[in-house]
Amino acid sequence: MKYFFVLFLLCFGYSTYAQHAGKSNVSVEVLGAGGWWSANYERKVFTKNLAALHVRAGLGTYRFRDYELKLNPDITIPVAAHFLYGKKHKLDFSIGQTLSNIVQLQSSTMEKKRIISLSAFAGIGYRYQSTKGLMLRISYIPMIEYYKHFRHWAGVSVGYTF
Amino acid sequence: MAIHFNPIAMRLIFAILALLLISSCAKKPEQVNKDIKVFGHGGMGNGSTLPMNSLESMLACYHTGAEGNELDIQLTKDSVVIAMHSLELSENTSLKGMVNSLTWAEIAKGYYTENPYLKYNIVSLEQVFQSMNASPDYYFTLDCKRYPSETKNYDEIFTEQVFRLIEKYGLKNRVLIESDNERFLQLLQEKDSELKLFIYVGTVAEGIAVCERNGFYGITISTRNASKEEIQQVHERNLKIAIWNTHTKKDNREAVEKNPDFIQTEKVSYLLDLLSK
Repeated sequence: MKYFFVLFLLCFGYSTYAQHAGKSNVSVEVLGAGGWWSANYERKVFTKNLAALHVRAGLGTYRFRDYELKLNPDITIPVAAHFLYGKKHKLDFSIGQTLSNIVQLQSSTMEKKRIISLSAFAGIGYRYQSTKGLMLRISYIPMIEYYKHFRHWAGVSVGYTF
Repeated sequence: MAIHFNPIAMRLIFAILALLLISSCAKKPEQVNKDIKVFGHGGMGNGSTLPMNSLESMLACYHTGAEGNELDIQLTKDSVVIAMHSLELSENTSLKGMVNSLTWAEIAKGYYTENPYLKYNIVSLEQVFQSMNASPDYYFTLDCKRYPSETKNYDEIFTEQVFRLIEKYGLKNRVLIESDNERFLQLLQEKDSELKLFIYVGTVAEGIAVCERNGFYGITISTRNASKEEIQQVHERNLKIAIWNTHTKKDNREAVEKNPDFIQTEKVSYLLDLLSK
């Protein structure tokens, strides 16, 4: 599972050479794999009949300033593969990982530190997406934070396909 | 690529923006007493991504400019005082069980789970005092959550531990201690009659009666249960009053109009701004 990032990069690499294979979209996801919100870029890398494979990378945050009010944003980077089925109204299955880089206080040393963690998530939801224009998605997103702690989560995305 | 805007959607967006603008320009209270002290409720309040009673939230409260910090405290199985609101730890942490059923070593391994990826630590009261003792003008309100277990002399041990830490860090004049239990406060009073003790009550009249009976310092009460006139009555008796349950901006404006001594707010920045601090 931890090699998912490598797989993701390979998919993205493939997609850049396979322009003919599909379309892109940009979206904002509220809650979702980024935590509270994330901005995402997604690209179609494979399609056959009504089925399609998309890959997505995002950037989210919780706070731009740390607890000392210094500019020091928390960062979340969700990456995912989406398996879609349908015409405009699609079933959306996803699997992915989120890299989080969060500012917190180390209780042992009482010093500020950025903690990097990797968490896994899956998703099942509904997506409305045409070949161009508005994209909407609503998903149930169970996640395993730090590969230890299970959490029920959900997300709503609004985006633009081009 | 031409972009077309839907005129109805544009009107709706402008209407929402206008409403937001109007709400942000809400009138300040006519009379503002700048002596009212602003305390963060559990740090930055329950609307923050920083969990209440986490050290990160309390430090953010301090750096925002609040004059004090309210925090909930409980006693662990091995008699360590920790900062925690929930009785059942699974409510918002990675742990299971009650605080008084686990040792501090067990609790220290846990973390808050309120939001994904935010793994803030649970801290002891001693860690709070160690980290935030630098400013000589910064206050702490300790909301003592009593959940007696099978521990013998629970209240005696709890009060002893709290008092020991206050003494150790020289915080007697900067710590306000609140509890809904009269006997608990009496135990603290027996250790030092100058401690600033607040009885947590449902009505102002009840609070006045308890304070006058025991010589306590003041009353802690929800803003919903205290009118401006009642707060005036508290002041006439040379007692202090702390109010909480100020979640919205409106709650905070109304609380300021009532003129208490301390407001434990969920909106620290807004209240500081309201009081021009």
